[in-house]
Amino acid sequence: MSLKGIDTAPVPLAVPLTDQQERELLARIAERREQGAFRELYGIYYQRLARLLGRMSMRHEDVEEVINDTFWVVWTKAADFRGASQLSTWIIGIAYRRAFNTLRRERLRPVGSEPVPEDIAVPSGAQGEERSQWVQLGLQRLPLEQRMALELAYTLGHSCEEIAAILGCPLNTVKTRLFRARETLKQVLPALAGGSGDYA
Amino acid sequence: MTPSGRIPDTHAEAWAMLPFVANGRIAPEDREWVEQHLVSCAECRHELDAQRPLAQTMSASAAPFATSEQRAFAKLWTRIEAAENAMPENDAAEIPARVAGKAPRRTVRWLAAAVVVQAVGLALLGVTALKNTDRGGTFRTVTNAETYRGPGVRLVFAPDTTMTLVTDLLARHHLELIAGPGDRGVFTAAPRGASNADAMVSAAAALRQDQHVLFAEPLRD
Repeated sequence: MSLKGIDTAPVPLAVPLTDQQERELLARIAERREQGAFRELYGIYYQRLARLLGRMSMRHEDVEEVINDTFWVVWTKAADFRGASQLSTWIIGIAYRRAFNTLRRERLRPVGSEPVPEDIAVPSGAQGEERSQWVQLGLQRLPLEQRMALELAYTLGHSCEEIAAILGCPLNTVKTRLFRARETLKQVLPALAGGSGDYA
Repeated sequence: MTPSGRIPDTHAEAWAMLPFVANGRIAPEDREWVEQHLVSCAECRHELDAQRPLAQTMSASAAPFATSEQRAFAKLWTRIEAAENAMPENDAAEIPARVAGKAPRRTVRWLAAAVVVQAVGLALLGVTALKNTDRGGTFRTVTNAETYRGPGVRLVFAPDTTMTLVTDLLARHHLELIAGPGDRGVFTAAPRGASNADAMVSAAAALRQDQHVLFAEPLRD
């Protein structure tokens, strides 16, 4: 979409099933205890959650454990889902809280506990994978809450309302975390401040 | 105008909404006024130009997870089967709209497992009783363990698990058997010293990682 020459087209993000289709899978799990429906829903969310949790500095085995704990809840509490939010918000919210508890329980070092360096010099000619590695480096400098807000917005493509529901915080808190994340990234990745697509 | 009908403090609020313009998830009621602001605000346009490639990079660079999804699901399903088989009848009734014959049952496997773990349990029970007699502590048996309300873990071991393995495994987590096996092969383990429910959650999570443990869940209050 273009508005008077301004490109406001969204970044395309894959959406495998509609919320209604996912709810139908959940209904089959709740009402008929169907393993096939459960397996399908698990497959839809596995990579999605693994990507998100992997960026919370969790070990691979912990990521798998959190995903399975999440889907344990989905299996046992499927009938309790009231539909007040999107199913994805419910599932990702469970995973986020489980991951946070795991990190706290294991006393892992929070991602953002390191001092933010002066900057990370992105080579001007960096492209594609190399660019994304520099971005990852920048993201690692963000406090966990800010990073998760940004990951939920950009990696998983959630709306402000959905992120607030997942993180269990007010809308303004989401906006504030995103604002601070953007500002920090500009400090550590100066190319971002230059804008005009120079960043990626 | 915002959903509440008020005129927004345009620049600051539009600036905060730019990530959702970049990812296409801005609410319809916000889209109009934010886009109108973008027409006249070079600073916001510049920021949007920076955010869109960032969103693109983050979306595209999320590498697939290396662990096998199939293996992970198999592990989860085994855990579900074990839990549902180990579930007392009154708990099983709590599962809503459960259809008979649809839920996983592997009766033969569990009978075999129960025979093995029962033998292990009897031996350990004897050892535990002797130890408790020696130190004159509280004597816990299968009978009074049923009324145990402290922190603990319910466990089902793989059929080929030996007594030595069970002893070593529990010792590593500072646990000891206080009951079992039940008719579905379920043991109950309690902490050797002072502990709490959080520690049992961690212990159960760690025990589930062991190949000899088919099921491990902290006791519910």
